[in-house]
This record gives sequence, C-alpha cells and structure tokens, in this order.
Amino acid sequence: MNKHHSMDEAFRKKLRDFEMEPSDHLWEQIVQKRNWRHRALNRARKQSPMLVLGAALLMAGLNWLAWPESAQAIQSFPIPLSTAIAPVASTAPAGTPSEQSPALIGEGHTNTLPPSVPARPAFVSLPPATATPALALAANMPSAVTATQQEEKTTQLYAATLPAVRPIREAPAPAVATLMEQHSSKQPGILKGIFSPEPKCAEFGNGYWSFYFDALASPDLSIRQMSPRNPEYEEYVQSRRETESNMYAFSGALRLSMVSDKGLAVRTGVNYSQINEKFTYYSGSEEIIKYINRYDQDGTVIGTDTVIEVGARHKITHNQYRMLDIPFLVGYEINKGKLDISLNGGAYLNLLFRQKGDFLSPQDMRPVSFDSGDPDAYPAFKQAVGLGWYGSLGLAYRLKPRVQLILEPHIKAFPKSVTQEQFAVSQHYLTTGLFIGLRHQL
Amino acid sequence: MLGVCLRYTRHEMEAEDILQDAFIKVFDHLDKFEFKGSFEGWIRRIVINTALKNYSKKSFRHEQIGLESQPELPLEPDIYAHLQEEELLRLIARLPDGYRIVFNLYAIEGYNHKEIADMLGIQESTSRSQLVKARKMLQVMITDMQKIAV
Repeated sequence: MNKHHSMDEAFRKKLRDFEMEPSDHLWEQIVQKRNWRHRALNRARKQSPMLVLGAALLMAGLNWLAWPESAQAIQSFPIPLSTAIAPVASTAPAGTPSEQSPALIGEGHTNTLPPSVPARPAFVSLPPATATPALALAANMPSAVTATQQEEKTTQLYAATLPAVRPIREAPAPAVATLMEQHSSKQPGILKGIFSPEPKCAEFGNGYWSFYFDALASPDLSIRQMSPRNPEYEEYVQSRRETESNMYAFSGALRLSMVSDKGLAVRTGVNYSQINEKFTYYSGSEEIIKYINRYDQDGTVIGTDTVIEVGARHKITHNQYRMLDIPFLVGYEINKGKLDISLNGGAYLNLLFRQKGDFLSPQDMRPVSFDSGDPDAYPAFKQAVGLGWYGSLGLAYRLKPRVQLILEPHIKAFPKSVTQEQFAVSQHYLTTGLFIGLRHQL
Repeated sequence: MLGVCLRYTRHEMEAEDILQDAFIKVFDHLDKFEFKGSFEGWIRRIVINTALKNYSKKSFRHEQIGLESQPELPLEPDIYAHLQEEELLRLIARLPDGYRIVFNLYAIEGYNHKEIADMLGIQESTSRSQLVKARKMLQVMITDMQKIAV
C-alpha cells in the first residue's frame, strides 16, 4: 500500500468507507432473481455428488428388478423341503431303495447312468402319488453312506422315478442317461426346461475358476460438472460453459476376468478413455499492445513505441482429456442358456491424466493454452486424479464355445476434481457408455 | 457496498447491477463463509471481484500514449480537503477502465502491484504504469477543476 502519495491518501480517506444507500427496488430485484428455480439450481450444483450417487442407486435398483428369480433363491439357501414334499417323505417307511421299489430297481438299468450326474431332483415334476417312494428315499438317506454309495443311490433314485413319468419298457434307461448327459452340458431348449433344477434348489459349485480375456470399446457420453471454488468465479464458470461444448468421447479396455463356478467375478486390466470438447472464442474488439524499443547505433534504448493493434479474434480449439486407468472390479454372473448376465462394480485407479487445448483464463477471460506436456502452459489440471468408481451391467452372448459377444452399459465417475486445488474452479467428469467387445475363455 | 461498486464503474446503474450480482453470490454461498475474518470483509471481496469480472472481458491495457511525458503537476496539499466524496467519485469515473481499476485496488483497497497483477492477469510493470498514468490524469483533472473554480 502506498502511504506516502498524498493523492492516494486523500482518496483513501474519503472513499474507503464512503457509502451510499442503494435504491429501494434493488433488494426486491435480488429476491426476485433468487427465485425457486435459481435456488434449486444452486442447491443441485452444491449437491451434485449426491445426485450422482442417487443415479447410481437408481440404476442398481433397476438392475435388481431385472434380477432373475433363481439367483434370489440361492440367497435363501439352505432351503427347507417344501410343505408339499416333506409330509409325504415323513410318512414313507425307512429302508433301502431296493426294499422300497424292488420291481423298478430290478430292471437293472441304473448302472448305465454316469457317476457325474448330479443328484438333481427330476422327480419334482412328477405327480405326488407316483413320486412318493423316491421322495421317501431322498428324505431318509442314511447319512453314513459313502460318496460312492450315495452316487449309486442317487442314480437309483432317477431310475426309480423316471418310470413314473414314462414306463421303463417304453423308455429304456440308456436313452434316459443320454438325456441326463445332455442336460449336464447345459443343453438349451425344451430339454433344458425338462431338466432345469427346481428354482428353489441351490446349485453347488465345484470351486473351479474360469479365466476370460475381454477386449472392449465404447462410445461414451461425458457429463462435465464445474463449480467455482470461490463465489467470485461464478461468472468465469458461466463463461467456460458458454465457450466450451461436448464433442465426443470414447474408451477402450483390455480386461482379465476370473469367474468362479458360483458366479463371483473379479476383473482387472487397463482402460483408456478420451473426452473431446470444443472451445470457441470470439472477440469483436480485441486489442494487442506491443512495446517496441528503439535503439541507437550502440544498442542503447533511446525510446519505446507503443503499438496497439485492434481487430476481431475468432478461435476454435479441440480440447482433449485423456485418461489411463486400472479397473478393480467385482461382479456376480448368472447363466441363462447362451447368455451370461453380470452386475459389476468397483474402483478405477487413474494412472495418467493428460490434457491439451485452450480455455478462458480466470484472470483476464482471454484464451490460454493448457498442455500437460508443456511445463510453460497454463497449470490448471492434475496429472492424475486418483480413484474413481465404476458400475456396469454386462451381457455376454456365447457365439462359440469359448467366445462371447459382450454388451456392457456402464457409468464411471471420479469424485475428485481434475483441476489443481489452487485453480479457480473444480471440474468433474461423469461418463456413461456402452462397451461392445469380445470375451475369450482362456 | 454501493460506494465500493461506484468506484469501479462509470454509472450508478452499472454499480447497482454489480451490487445485485454480488449479493446474489453472497446469499448463494453463505455456507462457504468460514468465520475466519470479518463478514464485511468477505462481502467486500466478493463485491470487488464481481466488479473486476464485469470488466474482465474488456482490455485492462488501455493506454493513453503521451501521458508518460507529462510531468507530475505540483498541487496544493490541502486541495483534496476541499473535494467532496461525490466529486472524487466523478473524477475516478472519468478514468479509463484499466486506470480506474488499478488506482482503486492500489490506492484505496491497499493491494500491492503483485497482488493486482495476479488478480487481473497482467504484468506488475503494467500495474505500475497504469497507476502512474491514473494519478497524472487525476492531477490534470483536479488542476482543471481548480482553474474553473478560480
């Protein structure tokens, strides 16, 4: 502060605390401008992270509604015997299978069933009267039997049950065994309907993991959120919104997925995404001031010329924001014939954030360049933006035994601002898109 | 705060517009006031920044060639005492935008040239030269007023 210049002192003394009464209508205008719409927009701007969370929850809710019934049944395991079955089983006498249905077992076809056939209750489709013996056996299976014995008894159960649907003489056991084998290899169509497990029966996995390699590409839609770090930058933010617009965005990913036979999926890999925006600036009265020194023969400055160039300036720049991320996702997959449906979510660790383009300077509202590769460019953005979150619904259709076509609508957001902390505004991106690609089972 | 706005503008209506915009920002961001300084100071800063943004799209570097060569005129020390606040405001309002803003920020608000340069996105030397030219222009105007009064 210059305290020595008499003019400065005089003006400061008289004007520093000089006040005038504003006109009466000014406050009315302020109240009018701060109407419900203005307040709602202001509130929405402040609570934008909550809105994003709400959208994610809504998406999750919609996914939940579309969740298949069998997957919900698994969550309720262990499932007690249904009331329709349990009383019948309890009234049946205990004993070995051969004792209960000697005539059926005596046909001698049970050994034709492979031991790998799971103990699936095919009898559930039977009328209660005919299924009674088999149910009784299932309910009273001695717990001390060995696994081999149990498999044999299980096959006997199938053999004992099937004739009730169709007489053994008309449908020989080898044919039945063939159908069983086909079912075990996930045969679709009407056979799948016949041999599909009871919806309330949990499917037991064998603890094996399958590995998949995914190659994906996606057209994206980016939603940018900008808010001033200080109220005085409100107009700057507004000017940025007016001079910058969305063009297009895309992303690509290479992922390795590990999926258990119970449906749990773990995925990681590398993801590249790019957001392109357009910066448009026009000034009809641009002034460029140049100071040109004049020198004598010895090189000494003898004077300075001030040159003012006045004209219009129109500038269009394609701005680029590029990200390289590592996804850490978990998901749950279910199989519906040729279709695998998955719900995925997790974190995206941003490794690199690179940008290049032009925007308005918060200082003088004139175009300045930002370039992560140029240390002399305007330092507005971070080099990495930390952790983000990701959610998706995946659909994988089996084209070949080991190849699937993937469609995966997704949403991704980084909660931290991509701008540096000391920059005038915070800037966030939320992107959504549709991954399309191929999955190969390794 | 209308007095603050008047110092940065040429007309009272323009000052009221700035005051209105500034108070909308104040109400919108009341929750951001951290009670670290005076509330009046916080509002004052918002008002000043709003006023500066009002001119940000225009050039701060408006130059009047020739003022450099004019010598600083000797003025009677008590001449300012006879000037009323409204007269001083009118004098400031007649300054070019760049001069007026730099003079306000330096002479009245008390910012130094480095702070002004950061706020306006200009060189420190530009801030200095504009201050000098603003003073000289004000001196010329005050001298003219003296002559008319005599």
